[in-house]
Amino acid sequence: MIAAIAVGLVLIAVGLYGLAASRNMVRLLIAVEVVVVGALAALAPVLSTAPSVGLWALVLLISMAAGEVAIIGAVIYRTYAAAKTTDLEELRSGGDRP
Amino acid sequence: MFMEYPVLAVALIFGVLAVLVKDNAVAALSLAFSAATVAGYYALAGLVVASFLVFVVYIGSVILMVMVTASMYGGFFDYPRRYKAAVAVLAVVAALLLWALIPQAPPPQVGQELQPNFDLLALIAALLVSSLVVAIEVAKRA
Repeated sequence: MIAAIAVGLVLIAVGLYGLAASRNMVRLLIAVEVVVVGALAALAPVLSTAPSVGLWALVLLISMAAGEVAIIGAVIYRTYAAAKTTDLEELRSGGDRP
Repeated sequence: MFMEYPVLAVALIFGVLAVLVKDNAVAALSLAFSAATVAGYYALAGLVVASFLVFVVYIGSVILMVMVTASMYGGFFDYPRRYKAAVAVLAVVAALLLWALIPQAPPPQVGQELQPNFDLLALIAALLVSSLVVAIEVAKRA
Protein backbone atom coordinates (compact mmCIF):
# COMPACT_ATOMS: atom_id res chain seq x y z
CA MET A 1 0.00 0.00 0.00
CA ILE A 2 3.00 2.30 0.49
CA ALA A 3 3.72 1.76 -3.21
CA ALA A 4 0.24 3.10 -4.04
CA ILE A 5 0.97 6.31 -2.11
CA ALA A 6 4.36 6.68 -3.83
CA VAL A 7 2.88 6.13 -7.30
CA GLY A 8 0.05 8.55 -6.47
CA LEU A 9 2.46 11.26 -5.38
CA VAL A 10 4.61 10.79 -8.50
CA LEU A 11 1.50 11.03 -10.70
CA ILE A 12 0.43 14.21 -8.89
CA ALA A 13 3.90 15.69 -9.47
CA VAL A 14 3.81 14.70 -13.16
CA GLY A 15 0.36 16.27 -13.52
CA LEU A 16 1.53 19.49 -11.89
CA TYR A 17 4.51 19.55 -14.27
CA GLY A 18 2.06 19.14 -17.15
CA LEU A 19 -0.02 22.04 -15.81
CA ALA A 20 3.07 24.25 -15.66
CA ALA A 21 4.53 23.23 -19.01
CA SER A 22 1.47 22.92 -21.29
CA ARG A 23 0.41 25.76 -23.57
CA ASN A 24 -2.77 24.12 -24.83
CA MET A 25 -6.11 24.11 -22.99
CA VAL A 26 -6.82 20.47 -23.80
CA ARG A 27 -3.41 19.48 -22.41
CA LEU A 28 -4.18 21.47 -19.26
CA LEU A 29 -7.42 19.48 -18.88
CA ILE A 30 -5.51 16.20 -19.29
CA ALA A 31 -2.83 17.31 -16.79
CA VAL A 32 -5.54 18.12 -14.21
CA GLU A 33 -6.98 14.64 -14.71
CA VAL A 34 -3.52 13.07 -14.22
CA VAL A 35 -3.43 14.83 -10.82
CA VAL A 36 -6.87 13.35 -10.03
CA VAL A 37 -5.73 9.84 -11.04
CA GLY A 38 -2.68 10.27 -8.77
CA ALA A 39 -4.97 11.25 -5.91
CA LEU A 40 -7.12 8.17 -6.64
CA ALA A 41 -4.05 5.93 -6.40
CA ALA A 42 -2.87 7.60 -3.18
CA LEU A 43 -6.33 7.12 -1.67
CA ALA A 44 -6.17 3.30 -1.85
CA PRO A 45 -4.60 2.77 1.63
CA VAL A 46 -7.30 4.97 3.22
CA LEU A 47 -9.99 2.86 1.55
CA SER A 48 -8.43 -0.28 2.98
CA THR A 49 -7.97 0.96 6.54
CA ALA A 50 -11.07 3.18 6.93
CA PRO A 51 -13.56 2.21 4.17
CA SER A 52 -16.32 4.69 5.05
CA VAL A 53 -14.00 7.71 5.21
CA GLY A 54 -12.16 6.60 2.08
CA LEU A 55 -15.40 6.04 0.18
CA TRP A 56 -16.71 9.52 0.89
CA ALA A 57 -13.31 11.02 0.08
CA LEU A 58 -13.49 9.14 -3.23
CA VAL A 59 -17.01 10.43 -3.93
CA LEU A 60 -15.88 13.97 -3.15
CA LEU A 61 -12.80 13.62 -5.37
CA ILE A 62 -14.78 12.27 -8.33
CA SER A 63 -17.44 14.98 -7.89
CA MET A 64 -14.73 17.65 -7.95
CA ALA A 65 -13.20 16.04 -11.04
CA ALA A 66 -16.58 16.03 -12.80
CA GLY A 67 -17.14 19.67 -11.89
CA GLU A 68 -13.76 20.81 -13.14
CA VAL A 69 -14.08 18.83 -16.37
CA ALA A 70 -17.51 20.38 -16.97
CA ILE A 71 -16.18 23.91 -16.41
CA ILE A 72 -12.89 23.50 -18.33
CA GLY A 73 -14.69 21.64 -21.13
CA ALA A 74 -17.25 24.43 -21.49
CA VAL A 75 -14.45 27.04 -21.53
CA ILE A 76 -12.59 25.06 -24.23
CA TYR A 77 -15.70 24.76 -26.43
CA ARG A 78 -16.55 28.45 -26.11
CA THR A 79 -12.96 29.57 -26.66
CA TYR A 80 -12.65 27.45 -29.79
CA ALA A 81 -15.99 28.70 -31.08
CA ALA A 82 -14.89 32.32 -30.55
CA ALA A 83 -11.18 32.21 -31.48
CA LYS A 84 -10.79 28.95 -33.50
CA THR A 85 -7.85 27.90 -31.33
CA THR A 86 -7.13 26.24 -27.99
CA ASP A 87 -3.50 27.42 -27.85
CA LEU A 88 -2.96 29.77 -24.92
CA GLU A 89 -0.01 31.61 -26.49
CA GLU A 90 -2.06 32.28 -29.59
CA LEU A 91 -4.99 33.52 -27.50
CA ARG A 92 -2.70 35.77 -25.47
CA SER A 93 -1.23 37.35 -28.59
CA GLY A 94 -4.67 37.92 -30.07
CA GLY A 95 -4.30 35.35 -32.85
CA ASP A 96 -1.27 37.02 -34.49
CA ARG A 97 0.88 33.90 -34.33
CA PRO A 98 0.71 31.66 -37.43
CA MET B 1 -0.68 -8.02 -2.45
CA PHE B 2 -0.70 -10.11 -5.62
CA MET B 3 0.31 -8.15 -8.75
CA GLU B 4 0.51 -4.88 -6.77
CA TYR B 5 3.75 -3.55 -8.23
CA PRO B 6 3.14 -4.41 -11.92
CA VAL B 7 -0.34 -2.85 -11.84
CA LEU B 8 0.90 0.33 -10.17
CA ALA B 9 3.86 0.50 -12.58
CA VAL B 10 1.45 0.33 -15.54
CA ALA B 11 -0.67 3.11 -14.01
CA LEU B 12 2.45 5.24 -13.54
CA ILE B 13 3.73 4.66 -17.08
CA PHE B 14 0.40 5.56 -18.69
CA GLY B 15 0.07 8.61 -16.42
CA VAL B 16 3.50 9.88 -17.47
CA LEU B 17 2.68 9.14 -21.13
CA ALA B 18 -0.52 11.19 -20.80
CA VAL B 19 1.57 14.27 -20.04
CA LEU B 20 4.50 13.63 -22.38
CA VAL B 21 2.80 12.43 -25.59
CA LYS B 22 2.29 15.16 -28.21
CA ASP B 23 -1.08 14.05 -29.55
CA ASN B 24 -4.09 15.16 -27.46
CA ALA B 25 -6.25 12.13 -28.20
CA VAL B 26 -3.44 9.64 -27.50
CA ALA B 27 -2.73 11.50 -24.23
CA ALA B 28 -6.41 11.18 -23.27
CA LEU B 29 -6.29 7.47 -24.15
CA SER B 30 -3.21 7.02 -21.94
CA LEU B 31 -5.04 8.83 -19.15
CA ALA B 32 -7.99 6.46 -19.55
CA PHE B 33 -5.66 3.45 -19.35
CA SER B 34 -4.01 4.90 -16.24
CA ALA B 35 -7.38 5.46 -14.53
CA ALA B 36 -8.56 1.99 -15.56
CA THR B 37 -5.40 0.46 -14.10
CA VAL B 38 -5.97 2.27 -10.80
CA ALA B 39 -9.55 0.95 -10.82
CA GLY B 40 -8.16 -2.53 -11.52
CA TYR B 41 -5.83 -2.09 -8.55
CA TYR B 42 -8.87 -1.30 -6.39
CA ALA B 43 -10.58 -4.45 -7.70
CA LEU B 44 -7.49 -6.56 -6.98
CA ALA B 45 -7.41 -5.16 -3.43
CA GLY B 46 -11.04 -6.21 -2.96
CA LEU B 47 -12.37 -2.62 -2.85
CA VAL B 48 -15.49 -3.32 -4.90
CA VAL B 49 -17.44 -0.10 -4.31
CA ALA B 50 -14.40 2.09 -5.02
CA SER B 51 -13.65 0.12 -8.18
CA PHE B 52 -17.28 0.55 -9.29
CA LEU B 53 -17.10 4.29 -8.65
CA VAL B 54 -13.89 4.76 -10.61
CA PHE B 55 -14.88 2.50 -13.51
CA VAL B 56 -18.49 3.63 -13.95
CA VAL B 57 -18.60 7.20 -12.70
CA TYR B 58 -15.07 8.50 -13.23
CA ILE B 59 -14.12 6.69 -16.45
CA GLY B 60 -17.69 6.48 -17.74
CA SER B 61 -18.39 10.19 -17.47
CA VAL B 62 -15.33 12.31 -16.66
CA ILE B 63 -12.68 10.50 -18.71
CA LEU B 64 -15.16 9.98 -21.54
CA MET B 65 -15.72 13.74 -21.75
CA VAL B 66 -11.94 14.36 -21.66
CA MET B 67 -11.48 11.88 -24.51
CA VAL B 68 -14.26 13.44 -26.57
CA THR B 69 -12.78 16.92 -26.03
CA ALA B 70 -9.26 15.72 -26.88
CA SER B 71 -10.50 13.91 -29.99
CA MET B 72 -12.25 17.07 -31.18
CA TYR B 73 -9.08 19.15 -30.83
CA GLY B 74 -6.44 16.39 -31.21
CA GLY B 75 -5.28 14.38 -34.16
CA PHE B 76 -5.92 10.73 -33.43
CA PHE B 77 -7.99 10.25 -36.55
CA ASP B 78 -5.04 11.13 -38.77
CA TYR B 79 -3.26 7.92 -37.70
CA PRO B 80 -3.21 4.95 -40.11
CA ARG B 81 -5.92 2.34 -39.69
CA ARG B 82 -3.44 -0.45 -38.84
CA TYR B 83 -2.07 1.64 -35.96
CA LYS B 84 -5.55 2.07 -34.51
CA ALA B 85 -6.23 -1.67 -35.00
CA ALA B 86 -2.98 -2.53 -33.19
CA VAL B 87 -3.92 -0.27 -30.25
CA ALA B 88 -7.39 -1.85 -30.09
CA VAL B 89 -5.93 -5.39 -30.14
CA LEU B 90 -3.45 -4.46 -27.38
CA ALA B 91 -6.26 -3.05 -25.23
CA VAL B 92 -8.36 -6.20 -25.71
CA VAL B 93 -5.39 -8.45 -24.82
CA ALA B 94 -4.66 -6.38 -21.69
CA ALA B 95 -8.33 -6.55 -20.66
CA LEU B 96 -8.41 -10.35 -21.18
CA LEU B 97 -5.19 -10.75 -19.15
CA LEU B 98 -6.69 -8.71 -16.30
CA TRP B 99 -9.91 -10.72 -16.55
CA ALA B 100 -7.89 -13.92 -16.18
CA LEU B 101 -5.89 -12.58 -13.24
CA ILE B 102 -8.61 -10.95 -11.12
CA PRO B 103 -10.30 -14.21 -9.97
CA GLN B 104 -6.98 -15.20 -8.32
CA ALA B 105 -7.19 -12.17 -6.04
CA PRO B 106 -8.73 -12.49 -2.56
CA PRO B 107 -12.55 -12.44 -2.62
CA PRO B 108 -14.12 -8.99 -2.42
CA GLN B 109 -14.99 -7.79 1.05
CA VAL B 110 -17.92 -5.37 1.19
CA GLY B 111 -18.39 -3.98 4.68
CA GLN B 112 -21.87 -4.02 6.18
CA GLU B 113 -21.90 -0.24 6.41
CA LEU B 114 -21.29 0.08 2.66
CA GLN B 115 -24.23 -2.04 1.49
CA PRO B 116 -26.97 0.65 1.88
CA ASN B 117 -24.78 3.14 0.02
CA PHE B 118 -25.18 1.47 -3.39
CA ASP B 119 -28.42 3.37 -4.13
CA LEU B 120 -26.74 6.62 -3.14
CA LEU B 121 -23.77 5.85 -5.38
CA ALA B 122 -26.06 5.15 -8.33
CA LEU B 123 -27.81 8.47 -7.66
CA ILE B 124 -24.47 10.31 -7.59
CA ALA B 125 -23.47 8.62 -10.85
CA ALA B 126 -26.70 9.78 -12.51
CA LEU B 127 -26.24 13.32 -11.15
CA LEU B 128 -22.66 13.55 -12.41
CA VAL B 129 -23.50 12.32 -15.88
CA SER B 130 -26.48 14.69 -16.14
CA SER B 131 -24.32 17.62 -14.95
CA LEU B 132 -21.81 16.90 -17.74
CA VAL B 133 -24.63 16.79 -20.31
CA VAL B 134 -25.98 20.11 -19.00
CA ALA B 135 -22.46 21.61 -19.22
CA ILE B 136 -22.17 20.62 -22.89
CA GLU B 137 -25.60 22.01 -23.69
CA VAL B 138 -24.84 25.30 -21.92
CA ALA B 139 -21.52 25.55 -23.79
CA LYS B 140 -23.30 25.00 -27.11
CA ARG B 141 -25.99 27.63 -26.50
CA ALA B 142 -24.10 30.32 -24.59
